[in-house]
Amino acid sequence: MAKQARAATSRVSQAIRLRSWISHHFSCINESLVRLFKSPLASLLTMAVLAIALALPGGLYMLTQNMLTLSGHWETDTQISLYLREDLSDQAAKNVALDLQRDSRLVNVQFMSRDEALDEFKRMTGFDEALDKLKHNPLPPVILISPRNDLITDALTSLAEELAERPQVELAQLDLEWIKRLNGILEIVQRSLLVLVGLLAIAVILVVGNTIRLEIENRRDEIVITRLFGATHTFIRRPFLYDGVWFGLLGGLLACILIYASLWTLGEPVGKLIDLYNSNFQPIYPGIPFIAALTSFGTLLGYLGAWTAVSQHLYKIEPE
Amino acid sequence: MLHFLNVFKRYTNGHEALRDVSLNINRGELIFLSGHSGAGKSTLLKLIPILERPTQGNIILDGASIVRMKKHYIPLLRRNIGMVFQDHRLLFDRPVINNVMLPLEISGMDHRECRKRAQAALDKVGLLNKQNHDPVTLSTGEQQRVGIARAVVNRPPILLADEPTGNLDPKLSQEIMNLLDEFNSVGVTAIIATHDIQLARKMRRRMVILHQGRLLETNTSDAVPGAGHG
Repeated sequence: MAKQARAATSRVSQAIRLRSWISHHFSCINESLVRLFKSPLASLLTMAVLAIALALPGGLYMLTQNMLTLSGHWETDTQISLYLREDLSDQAAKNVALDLQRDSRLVNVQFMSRDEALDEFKRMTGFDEALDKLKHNPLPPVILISPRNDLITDALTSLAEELAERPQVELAQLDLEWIKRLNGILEIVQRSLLVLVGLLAIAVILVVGNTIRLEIENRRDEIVITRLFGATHTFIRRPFLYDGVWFGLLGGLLACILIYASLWTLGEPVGKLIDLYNSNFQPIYPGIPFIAALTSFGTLLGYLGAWTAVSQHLYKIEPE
Repeated sequence: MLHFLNVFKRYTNGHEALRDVSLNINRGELIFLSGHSGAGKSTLLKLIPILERPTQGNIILDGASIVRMKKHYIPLLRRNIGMVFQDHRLLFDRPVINNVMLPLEISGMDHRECRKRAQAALDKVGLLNKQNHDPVTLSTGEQQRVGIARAVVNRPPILLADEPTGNLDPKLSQEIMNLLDEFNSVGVTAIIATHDIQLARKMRRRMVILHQGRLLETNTSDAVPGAGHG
């Protein structure tokens, strides 16, 4: 009987404890936000610094993502020019083209006989007279091939190699070199992005840490008093951790706005440039997953910053 | 309830604040610690909530030694001790009621219940009508009464007061002493450090005098001739 009563009481007191624990969290969240708005300028400055530090790698990431899609677009516009052997008759060359049309990797196979090639060359260069003087047509028959546009660099290269091995083929030319170079550059940019993320993450932690350190100094009296009346470390550090979380979260959101604004500013000239390339490329703007990732990252860094400040400075404050 | 056994306290700068102090304090007692400033009164009080630890000797509270208590448990110990300070140590960034609620919030009490109990404590010290005032707008005497309300709000079994009347004129000092006396009469063990021996004597309670870290005399003020006349 007594045991049951005790168990019941302990259950009740546990429930009360849990409730008051939750309510303390909520009051910390609330008070921390109120504090933030009490000194709006100082808070805004801190958040602006965080936002810039987060927007730099975030913006660069968006930029490389856009470049990658753009280079993807260019890859899909790729053509392979198949130069056949000069001594091949037109009929034999046509047969090669017919054969290629059955290849499922190719969407379009366009045959150009030696005469057609010469005509086009004349049309494009205007060397009519000079070419007329030649005793025979120096151009080989050509097959222009458009591969399926889901094939990417490696598949394209191996396709070109495979085509080049056919006995009737003199040369298979795939103009991918510059895209490869672009992708190489993008890879370097992405790698430096990692380094940048690391450095700026440390910067964010230091900025938040310093802000929270000042906050701890400002609230020294309160810390001493709460400690005198039996507050635990967890209780004392909780509001400061929430301060850090708010800074990180709001800084992250502000960073997203900065990135959006920057991309928007770039939008018009980039659009013009893209029109010149006749591409149907659509620039990527930060979506919900990106915003969620950046703000969570900011929040995590804010928390870590607050945590470093708290673990360095809070415990030094002992009541006398 | 509280026993000091041959307690020494030497600070790191070499100052010997307490020398071989032995003292028994009974449950429900009100005891005055007196002596000149620097005699060791504050140090003796600080040993109880483990704001300082003795260099030698033992302190037994409720049958258990607190000398080597783990840091982890100190907050729980402090929740059973109410503290009143000479300079009140109120937080000026919040109204009176929130100052009084603080110890209850720390112990994890429901917010509404906190407010109710804080109001009851403020009522006892006669300041319920000023619950929403800023502490700065209160007089020194009133601030000290808020400090006392805060110290007793979670009904601690022990109440420590370090020079609670240090900044007050005699009339207000008497008021504060009477207030502490009232809380003692409902069962709180009260230990009051004061250099005002006259005032302490008037209260007709046990008084111990510290001199250069040593306990000089321990007697009830009743035994002091002339006590209770003024």
